[in-house]
Amino acid sequence: MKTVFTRRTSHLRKVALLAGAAIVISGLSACSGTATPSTSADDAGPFTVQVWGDVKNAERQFAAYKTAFPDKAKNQDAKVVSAGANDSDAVAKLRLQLSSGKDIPDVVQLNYSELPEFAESGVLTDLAPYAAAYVPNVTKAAQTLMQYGDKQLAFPYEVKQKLWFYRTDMFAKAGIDVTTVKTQDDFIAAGKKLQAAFPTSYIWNVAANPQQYQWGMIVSGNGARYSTKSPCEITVGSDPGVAKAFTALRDLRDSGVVDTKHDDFTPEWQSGLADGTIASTLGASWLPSFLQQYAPDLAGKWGVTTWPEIGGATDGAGSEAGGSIFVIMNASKHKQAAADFLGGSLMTPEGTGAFLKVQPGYVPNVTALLDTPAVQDNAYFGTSLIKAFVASAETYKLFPFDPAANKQTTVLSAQLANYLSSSDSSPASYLKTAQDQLASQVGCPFQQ
Amino acid sequence: MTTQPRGGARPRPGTLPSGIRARPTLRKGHYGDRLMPYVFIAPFLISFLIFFALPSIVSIVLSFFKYRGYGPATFVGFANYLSLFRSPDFWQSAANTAFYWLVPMVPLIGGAFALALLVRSRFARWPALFRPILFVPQVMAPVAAAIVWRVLLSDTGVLNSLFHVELSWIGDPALGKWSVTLLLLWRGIGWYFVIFLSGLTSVPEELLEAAQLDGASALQRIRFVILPIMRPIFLFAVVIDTIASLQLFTEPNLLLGNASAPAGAPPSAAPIMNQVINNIVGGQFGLAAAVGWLIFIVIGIFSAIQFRLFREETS
Repeated sequence: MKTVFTRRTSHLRKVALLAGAAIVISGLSACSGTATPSTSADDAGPFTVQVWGDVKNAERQFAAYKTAFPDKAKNQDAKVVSAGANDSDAVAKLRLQLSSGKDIPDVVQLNYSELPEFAESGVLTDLAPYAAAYVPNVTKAAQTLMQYGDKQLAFPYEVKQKLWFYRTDMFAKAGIDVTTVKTQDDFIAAGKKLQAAFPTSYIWNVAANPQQYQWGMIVSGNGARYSTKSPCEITVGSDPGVAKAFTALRDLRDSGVVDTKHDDFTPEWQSGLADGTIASTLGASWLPSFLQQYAPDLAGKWGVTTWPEIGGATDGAGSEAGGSIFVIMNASKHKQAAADFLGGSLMTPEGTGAFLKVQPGYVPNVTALLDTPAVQDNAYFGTSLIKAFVASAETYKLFPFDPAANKQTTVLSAQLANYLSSSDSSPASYLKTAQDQLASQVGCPFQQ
Repeated sequence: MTTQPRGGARPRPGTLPSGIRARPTLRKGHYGDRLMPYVFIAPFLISFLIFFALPSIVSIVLSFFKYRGYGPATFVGFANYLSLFRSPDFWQSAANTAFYWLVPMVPLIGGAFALALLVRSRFARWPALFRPILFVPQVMAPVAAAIVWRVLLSDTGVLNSLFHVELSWIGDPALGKWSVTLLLLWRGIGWYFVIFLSGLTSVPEELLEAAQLDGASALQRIRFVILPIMRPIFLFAVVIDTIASLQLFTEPNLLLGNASAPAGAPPSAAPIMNQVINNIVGGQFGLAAAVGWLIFIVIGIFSAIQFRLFREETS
């Protein structure tokens, strides 16, 4: 009796497990998780704006929009929510919302590098009907940031241009003229001059496990790409731009003029920027607020200019993750209100001017505002910040991100760290490893 | 006229004299008695099903799909598992995890046991003071501990100052794993110390006295009396340490990580759990599920081996 009971129970368990698996498989195969696009006029009620980090910036942005456009914004209301500390949290949260089909916000803040994934999935609103009127108001760089392929899918928030920040007093004492520093070799020579005058100072810092954005800024401007669409395949193993970025960082670390021990956003880096140990840094347009925080006593002693050629990115071409953008989800029932808010606050002189008053330090994308005194003369950097900004806009370039950009960056970061801590002069074997891994785990990035 | 059973035999209990079997009747409340245990364990069963069993089934099925977290899922069979086995990145983090498991194990468990013996010995004064002092690192939040150790291990930190060296404990890829090991030892020794201290109370004093009277030295008493009795405690400690080590994530990433990646430890020190997090961030949920199940299988295998080894030694 006991044996029959055990056999029957065991059989029932197997059937239950198989049935459960079948239900799960059919669920996974059938689920799309995307809501039906709304074609009707806006629904009543507030629209949701999902940002990363502090919600205060977006709340100020909406308040400024209401001040600038009181009639248009009379019946509009926005609810700002934070998706987490950084853009990775924002993407993770958005994926969950799309998967469940619930609480999908109307407006989402992303980095441009994350746009292709959602663009290819068809969950974003085509903004051409909503943004066309605003486009002529903004810089070419901002217009570029709005595009994915032949569609306008984003409102530009912050164009993340490559900028070189340097200690004007230390460079003057060392006899370095930044206008003559055009190439990587010039940069290394300038570093040697700096160390002749200040033996314990460095011209940049590149740690053994560099920040992804450091080499990301190099590949964004030297023609590199991680994949092709047709044929759809990963190409990191054979791409010359990626190899150049790897060897450039290796050469800079070996030159002796770059701090190889301290990574960005470490206590030593922060104090190094304050005490002159790190006398310059190749960064991006988001660095000013951090620099002012770390070295408040050095106002007027930091200058800004464009990058020299590093890793084949001539004239400092490229950008950092493209920039920060706002997108409107297809599932939104407040598309018009959201577009009015984003276009009004980010792409009009009145709206952006009002936003500038409550968000000093924000560099506007609106061309007409670039000449205003508040933008021209920065309290910390003087006029050099906006001059560098305008100059770097001429060579602003977007990296051709694809939907698997996050995964590709992680894999390449690991191989870069392995290469930098090895004694190999060529990165070929490390790029091949990255190629094989991505080809196996990602395959065609444009296919789900 | 009375009914006589066939052949004159007495009727069997529970049967009528004619030989017809009587139908058994149920005791009142019998079904309720059989149901009651299930009612009591129902809350656990329901939460187990919802929060563990069902997600586990979904996860194992997901490991055979390519899935971005939303949208359609594409069946890929064993491709996720095969691509992990072919990935040097995966094996590098597996090797790092093995390092974090094996290197601290002897000092951690051996050191905790030695401390417990010392505290219970006649050499230790104020033994009640040692328990909270040694346990404080375990109580400290992992984030706080990692931040403190980042400062201790910085270029101008306590360790370099004490030993008059200029080592880059955080930035040097060759030293990163050792920095994590120091942190793991500091945090873990108090936990195992408390476990061994409790275990030592189960060793009968009479046995130790008898061994002493028979001429056994202190080391002999430890080897032939205390260790055999404490074998189950050691098994527990080793199994718990194995599971915790194979699931390690916080300490390496907080101590060595960089700001631009969620699981930011360098590849020279990244544990296997980074594969799960990085694949989730990269929108590769099937791969993340596959890594999770590989970790589960490895933990199961090692735990089974440890149980068998300890049981064989006992028998």
